[in-house]
Amino acid sequence: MSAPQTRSLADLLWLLVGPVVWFLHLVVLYGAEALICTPPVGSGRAMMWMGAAATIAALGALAMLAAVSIRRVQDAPEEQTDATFLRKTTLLLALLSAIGVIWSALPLALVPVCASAGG
Amino acid sequence: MSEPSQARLAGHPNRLPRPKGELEALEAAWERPKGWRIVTAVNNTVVGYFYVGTAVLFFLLAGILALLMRLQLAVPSNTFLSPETYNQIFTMHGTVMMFLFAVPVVEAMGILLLPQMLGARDLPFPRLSAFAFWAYFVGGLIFFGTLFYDVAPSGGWFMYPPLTGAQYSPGLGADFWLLGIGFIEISAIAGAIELIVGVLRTRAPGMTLDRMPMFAWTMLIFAAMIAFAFPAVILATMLLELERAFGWPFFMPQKGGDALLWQHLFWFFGHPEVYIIFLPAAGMVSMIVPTMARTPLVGYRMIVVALIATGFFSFGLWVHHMFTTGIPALSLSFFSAASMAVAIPSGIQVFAWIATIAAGRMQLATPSLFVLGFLFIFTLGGLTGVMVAMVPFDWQVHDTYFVVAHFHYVLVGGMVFPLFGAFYYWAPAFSRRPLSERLGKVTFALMFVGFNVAFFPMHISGLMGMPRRVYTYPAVAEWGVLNMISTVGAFLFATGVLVFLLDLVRNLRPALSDPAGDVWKGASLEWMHNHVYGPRSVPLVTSRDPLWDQPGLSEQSKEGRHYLPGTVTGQRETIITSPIEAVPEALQRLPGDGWPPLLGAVFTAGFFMLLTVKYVMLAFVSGALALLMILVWMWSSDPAPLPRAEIGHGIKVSTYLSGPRSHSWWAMVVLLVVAGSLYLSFVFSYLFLWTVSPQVWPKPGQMPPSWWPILAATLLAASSGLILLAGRFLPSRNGVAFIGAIAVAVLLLGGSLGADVLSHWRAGLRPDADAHGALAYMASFLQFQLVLTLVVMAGFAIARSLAGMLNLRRRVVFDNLVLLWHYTVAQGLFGLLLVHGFPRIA
Amino acid sequence: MSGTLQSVLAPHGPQAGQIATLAWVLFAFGAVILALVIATIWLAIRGTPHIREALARERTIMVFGLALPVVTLTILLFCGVWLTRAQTGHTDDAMRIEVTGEQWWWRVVYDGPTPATSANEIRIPVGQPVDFTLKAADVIHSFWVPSLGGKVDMLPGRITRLRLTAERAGVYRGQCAEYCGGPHALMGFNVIAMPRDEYEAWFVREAGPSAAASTDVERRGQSLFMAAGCGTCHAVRGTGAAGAIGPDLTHLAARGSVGIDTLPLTADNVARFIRDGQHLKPGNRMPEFRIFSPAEQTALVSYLMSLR
Repeated sequence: MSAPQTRSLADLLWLLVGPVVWFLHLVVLYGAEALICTPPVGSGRAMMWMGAAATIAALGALAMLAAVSIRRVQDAPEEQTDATFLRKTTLLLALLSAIGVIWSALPLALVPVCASAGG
Repeated sequence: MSEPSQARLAGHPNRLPRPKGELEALEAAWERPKGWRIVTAVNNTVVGYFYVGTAVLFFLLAGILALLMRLQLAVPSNTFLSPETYNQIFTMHGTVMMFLFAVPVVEAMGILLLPQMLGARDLPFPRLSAFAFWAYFVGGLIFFGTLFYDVAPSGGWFMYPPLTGAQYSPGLGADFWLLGIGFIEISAIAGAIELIVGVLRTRAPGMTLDRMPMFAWTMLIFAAMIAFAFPAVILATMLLELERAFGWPFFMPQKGGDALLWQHLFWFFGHPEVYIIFLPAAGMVSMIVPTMARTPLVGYRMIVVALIATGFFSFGLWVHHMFTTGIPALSLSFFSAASMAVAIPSGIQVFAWIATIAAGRMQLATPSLFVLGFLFIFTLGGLTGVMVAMVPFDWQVHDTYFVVAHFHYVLVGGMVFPLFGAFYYWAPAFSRRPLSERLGKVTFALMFVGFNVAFFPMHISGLMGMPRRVYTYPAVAEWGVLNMISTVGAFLFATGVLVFLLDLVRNLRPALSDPAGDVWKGASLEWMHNHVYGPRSVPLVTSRDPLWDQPGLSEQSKEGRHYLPGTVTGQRETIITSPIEAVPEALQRLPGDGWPPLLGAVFTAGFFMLLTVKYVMLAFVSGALALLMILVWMWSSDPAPLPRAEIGHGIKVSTYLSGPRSHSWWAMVVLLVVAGSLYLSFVFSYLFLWTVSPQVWPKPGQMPPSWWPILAATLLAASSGLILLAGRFLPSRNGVAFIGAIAVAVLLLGGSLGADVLSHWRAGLRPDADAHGALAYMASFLQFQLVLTLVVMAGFAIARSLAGMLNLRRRVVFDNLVLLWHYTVAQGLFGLLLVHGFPRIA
Repeated sequence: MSGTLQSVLAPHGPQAGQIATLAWVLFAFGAVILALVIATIWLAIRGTPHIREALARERTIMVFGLALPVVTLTILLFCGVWLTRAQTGHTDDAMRIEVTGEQWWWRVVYDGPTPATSANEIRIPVGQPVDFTLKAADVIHSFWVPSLGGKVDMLPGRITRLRLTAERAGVYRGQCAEYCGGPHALMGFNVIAMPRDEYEAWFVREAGPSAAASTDVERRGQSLFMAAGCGTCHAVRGTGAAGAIGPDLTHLAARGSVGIDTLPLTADNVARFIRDGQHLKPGNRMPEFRIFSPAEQTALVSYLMSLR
């Protein structure tokens, strides 16, 4: 009995993977800028590389998560409604997280690094 | 093991009629204390009633403060209130509404409703909810009372230092805020642990996660968010109180501190707080709408997705409150994007409700009206939320009445309207009479019109340049008119609340047994024939809307055809089920009523409040009494294992679980999450202040010699090893070795802490010298709190083993000690690495 | 107060103008979405069975709850970030003025070969971008002139910056936007934008000392000013008064108000503020001086009113 129970608890934690990826991506972007903009100021180029790498990694992770969830939904036997439920939920959360990641990355292309309102 | 599987759950119903005496025994076990002794009750229905009532009381009190403010602002240059009084009043209005009304009231609704809704007899830790309630009740009343002695805080509800530091707020007001609110947050966390374990482990058999009522989903996410968000502000209040009392300069720029650290920590709590308040209210709406439209919720899965996404996204936008602090524009834009992201889940929920309304036939009763009012106001608040998420727009409206309007639309619209809808909706489940539809409609009309008249003009006054938190304003033409309109609206709203109170007086007849019942023809289990102990027998759930899809369920449950129709052990009991599939796993015996939770809470409150007014000796006496009460209470927990018990349907389950299957293990894990996020907040503070003032960090040569931290780490590791060893000596084998191992482990743990502190002291480091010193000692201070807890728990475990109440089988007390112990050691090792290692590489 | 401007929706500079345009776009967006939500709710309750059936699907949630917000918010986010970029990272030269927020007034220092100190009133040339260097002396304040642009906080231990430009001559009212205790509500100031030549003439006077007391009454007032210890807190350049705790009074009479924007500047109000300041501006740091006889008070006030 304990074996299937732990497996399903892990399923519950799968739900959180997408949003966690989104959160880590945000923290990396924010942390990178906080460090780069601490005197002596680092280069804007480092920030761009950092941001691009973090974004690609995050989107890659979310795509893998989505692929795994889709495969599991297809493989799941009909009567396992709660397992299918969790995986479809995971999939949708991965989608929302991906939107969040793309949005966070958007300013990287537009706003200069370390600049603040007064110039 | 022959545990029941999902397929077998269908099982055979219990034979009828009930065996003689079965119902009587059940009623006797759950009989509630009579007369004034009702205060010793720990049952969720009684505590829930008290809890909701107290929260409503604070809503009224803080509402009166709001009316006083509106009177002062009705005309320009008014002298109705002095500036100091006004500043105290707006600080208390915000603080009381957020900390003493909004969070407690939703937690209270959870405590009151969840067991009935989940088909449980009670929450898994009834005395913990009683403790949480009484702590909140006593602490809250004392805190509010400061207003009458003119010692209320006046630094605004987010208490920004340096204004709230010792120099600019020398009185006791800020201390009352810091200790009082810190204390009430501990009570909120206690409630959250209860709710998480309750939702995951006490659902009716067959109520799988995807059949769980939406309100339970929201309470689960609500409680998880509290576990992650509240520690940040608890740490912040600790830091500020240490700065005020002992001059540890966390926020003083002259010594390497930074005022922005407070803002980061506060808003890392404060922004999720808004969603912490909103999600349960959204859960109430998700319960009310399907009933009123007489159709299942459309998009159940999408709503779950929206809830989880909201829970996470809300942690990614704390900087959204700091757009004007000169943080680099790129960082602001990241958080602007995150603030946009959080709008999507709200959109999903709003349209899921609309789709549900369209799927059925909406009955326009009072709860529906409040839901419709909520949809309008909350949508508007959400839209202004999108506006303030735009960085340049926020530069203009931040800290103006536009923002005041925005967050009242979100909070009153998003939370108070659903709550009033919920009061009207659920009153029949807890009162012999439902509330009046006629008065309810009047209440709604007054509140809805009054709210919009009061708060819509504030958008305009903010755009016209009126900053928030001003006790008066000059006679600029438009401001005067707009403010007068707002004042009129506020009084209209208040009239609506008065009509509601009248309705309560006329119709609310608290009934813990035989309430008016299912007047709305709802689908979820709280509409069965419920009693003080929940259902007469715990139903087998096979549908998301059990009362609609399982005809006769309510009657079957009442007759005793389902699980646990009586009491197996003669005590209070509930069924522990598995977290995902809700398969029965054990019969949990629940404690009865008693004084310890109440007295423990009173003395804990006494400890904090006496400390605030600097009666240190008395405070420690009170603290010791609180500890004593908690030990008395803990002593009677963890009852001895009994033989496996039949809960009905021929299913036998264990009466004792230990390790990861025990509900107590789950509670401890949640507590570790709380401790871990508190510590992460500290690590953030350490690194943040380093980026601000690296000049106060020592050079590697000024650090204590590295053998000090190595010694401390060795002692820590050894203590963990001894605890592992103690597990092998559990008293059934060798009592003396067990006790000895634990005692030595305690000494090693204390020695490690002492070595760390001594190493700093001998290296000339002082906590009040600069920010680095304060942080280094803070790491030890956080460690000290855990060590102190472990000392008490170790003593308790030793006492239990001496009393023969701890052995290989009956081992939950020891399991919990082990969990916390290893966590403490891990935190200690990390702390040594950070405090001794980081300055060497930075 | 008439004639002064303090409104986000009455922009008189490019920074405020851009934000006001954004604001109107946002209001239009909000109105359309709100109307959409209300209309769908109405249709969900009162619509024909056909419409309601169409609404009652998960597709409704996908389209209106997910796809629509994603599209509209992406556009908005792009606009917002674009505008953020437009308002940051200036590298060109601008005039510099340092403003320090203090409980509960504003210290203003004009950058120049000899920095000129003033208080509670800022004069700038029309059309000239001005970079404000913002500091805080005690607690957090926030510098905000709605008709000219967004606000920026003043934080102890930190320096923040803000660029503003006034496109037209006028008086723009500003106010502290971060709660700073006590009479925070009364911590206002005026930004006066003047044509460049007028500004330059004014600045020459401002940078110099005030004219020496010329009449007997004024001289008597000056000695009272010194004897009562006013110079401990206040500075009057060219005299022995060099206090730096309170506002610089060198050109007090050339400013528009007394008591940090609380009262218009008249001899009577100056007298009231000295005598009754805690009533007019409760909690302010200046004690009330009631030691003067009526004649002494008149002398003191005429001295102060001569500081041009």
